[in-house]
Amino acid sequence: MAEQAVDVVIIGAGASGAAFAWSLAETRMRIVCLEQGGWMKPTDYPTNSADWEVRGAGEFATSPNTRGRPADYPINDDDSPIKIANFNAVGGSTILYAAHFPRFKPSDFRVRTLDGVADDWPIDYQTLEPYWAENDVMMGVSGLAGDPAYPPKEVPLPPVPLGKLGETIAGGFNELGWHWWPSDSAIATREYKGRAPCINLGPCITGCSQGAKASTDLTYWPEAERRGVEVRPHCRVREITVDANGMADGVIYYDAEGVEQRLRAEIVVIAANGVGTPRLLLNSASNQFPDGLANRSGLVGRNLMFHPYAMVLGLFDEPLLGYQGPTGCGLWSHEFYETDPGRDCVRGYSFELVRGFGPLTSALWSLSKGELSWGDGHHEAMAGIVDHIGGMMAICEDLPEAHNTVTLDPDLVDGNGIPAPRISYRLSENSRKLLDHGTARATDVLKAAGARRVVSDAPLAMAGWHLMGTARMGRDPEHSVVNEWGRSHDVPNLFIIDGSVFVTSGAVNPCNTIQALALYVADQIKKNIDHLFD
Amino acid sequence: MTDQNPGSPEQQRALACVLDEIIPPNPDGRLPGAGAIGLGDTLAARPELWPLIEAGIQAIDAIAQQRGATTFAELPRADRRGVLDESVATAPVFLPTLIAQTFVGYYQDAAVREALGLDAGAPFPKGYAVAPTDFSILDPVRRRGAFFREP
Ligand SMILES: Cc1cc2nc3c(=O)[nH]c(=O)nc-3n(C[C@H](O)[C@H](O)[C@H](O)COP(=O)(O)OP(=O)(O)OC[C@H]3O[C@@H](n4cnc5c(N)ncnc54)[C@H](O)[C@@H]3O)c2cc1C
Repeated sequence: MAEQAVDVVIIGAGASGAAFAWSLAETRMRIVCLEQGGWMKPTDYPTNSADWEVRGAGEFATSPNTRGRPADYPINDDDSPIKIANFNAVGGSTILYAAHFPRFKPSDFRVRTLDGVADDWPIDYQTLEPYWAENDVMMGVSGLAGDPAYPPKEVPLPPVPLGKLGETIAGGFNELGWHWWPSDSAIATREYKGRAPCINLGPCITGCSQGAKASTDLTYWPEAERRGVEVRPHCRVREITVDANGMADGVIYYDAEGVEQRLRAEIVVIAANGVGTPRLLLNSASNQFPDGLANRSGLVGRNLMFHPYAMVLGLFDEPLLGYQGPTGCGLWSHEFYETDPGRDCVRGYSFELVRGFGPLTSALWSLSKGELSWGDGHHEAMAGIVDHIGGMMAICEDLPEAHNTVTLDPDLVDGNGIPAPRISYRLSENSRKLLDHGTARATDVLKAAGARRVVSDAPLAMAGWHLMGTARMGRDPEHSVVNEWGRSHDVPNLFIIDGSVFVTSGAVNPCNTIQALALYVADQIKKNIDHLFD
Repeated sequence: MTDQNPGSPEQQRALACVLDEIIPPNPDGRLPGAGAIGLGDTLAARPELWPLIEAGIQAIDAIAQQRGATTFAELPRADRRGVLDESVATAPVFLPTLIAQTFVGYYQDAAVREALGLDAGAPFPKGYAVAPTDFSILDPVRRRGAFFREP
């Protein structure tokens, strides 16, 4: 086993690992990022070929269990109505993400104070404000300033066009007098830092062939590498090791040839996402940490939060050209974001536009929903479906519950024989009520926009793409895994910078906030470098 | 592709009839039936599918014989749907699998996509030009003013 030493090792080259590495690189420390996946080639993405819909559901499926690429690890999610979605590569899940890029809102950090549920965060909106702004510039975010649902903020690039579908649905919101606004989207709408502008290919969630979508292999990583950070692809970390003093002293990983390697490090940073991070900590159990590394609180792997999604689609008489334009980006609505005493539940949800699909996806989805049959009458029905579908997703806030967990599966292992994660998740009563409310209100909007029929799916099973809460932050070591700037309470030179540290989930997509947090943690390390481990 | 189809001429004909039942030609002739686009050969040539197809054809032929025909393909069109529905009792995986596979093959077919008024090829690099939005449609929202909740 070869052995090397660096100052900082980062595990995971996704959204958070990339932002963190870029920021910390200015310290000129020796930084290595170990990533189990490889560099992606945009020419390999499905929209390069005519069979893009089939490839998007197979080798580029959102579920690692369906994809089964060598970089993927299996995840036992049988015990969850919501299935895990991710991607394992340089760029992580941003390779597949829809790039809908809202920030959390001021109230999201204070839900205990405001609504008496869950916990307040140890940081607030103002803490992250400069880091969101920095991230918007690095990722190249498009949108429109002036959204009354947020404190004032700038957006670097003009918004993505709504297209006929988006304008139709916006009309529905206007009809009802409800809030909507063009989404912040991590999509270049004009040439930006060497990235070509979006050409409205459609399915962003199978990878962007144009390179307009801000996946971190295109945004942060080239700049981080120029600053001297080394990314080692195809390197899967098995465990983090500790010395006799209980400090992390490095990692053991398998390299591209499957050979076990040891990398010593002064600082260990985990950026493996809300499932990969607790898995790694639990796989790093030792005599000193028999229940898993950094797990004296017993909270590693607990409080898993998704955003339960309701997908609500309308069938319209008019063709809407919904397959043209970024799938999940267009507009959002925060009309129902906050707790409303008139509703029988707490917290709320946001809406996000869903554009239409290709003909195959439209046909299969409609078949599964009973909107389309085989045999006589098929073509008549299909004529009213293909290019006539569009709608919205309600993204519901999920409250932290200790029984929603990531643990180690007793049997399942990945390609290197490392125990795989097992998900156990129950949809709460509160989430169910939010889903129902979101479905009903989305139906109102779609009908107001002219939909002749509305069909919904909630919770959307494939939508386990926001992974949060499994190593939460807080000031009290009894009730949290890391402190207010991502440092493990138990292991002072171990940091966690991904969505695992979220205290609550908010009701918007988390990536911008995950990256802002990673930039914030990097800054805290820089500021506290002289007494980092005190 | 036909030479890779392991089926006999009768089996090939039966399969084409099944596919045409699943997606028949459009009465106006604008869209072909699924049995007429070479899909039968493609599906039959897949080794993991052929045993299921072969057994399914056997099952529907048997039901057709109970109804006085020699094979499924000999049945009048009006009777075929009923036979397929009935086949689920003896060959439960055959029909659902073929429906899914027919949809996949049919809606990826270039001629079908074009007939639907859609692009047949890869979306990239052509992409689509979407007109910029006139955001005066936001005026009602702007008039409403700030409404986020301050902690
Ligand atoms: C289909 C899809 C759509 C999405 N859409 C949106 C959206 O529109 N907006 C939004 O905000 N968010 C979206 N998300 C979620 C968003 O992508 C994630 O929240 C974000 O990427 C998480 O960042 P991360 O750094 O925590 O983890 P990731 O980006 O998932 O990166 C983690 C990396 O760690 C690596 N890793 C894990 N374990 C190990 C190990 N043991 N050794 C080495 N490497 C390891 C993985 O290979 C991976 O590359 C979407 C996600 C998916 C899958």
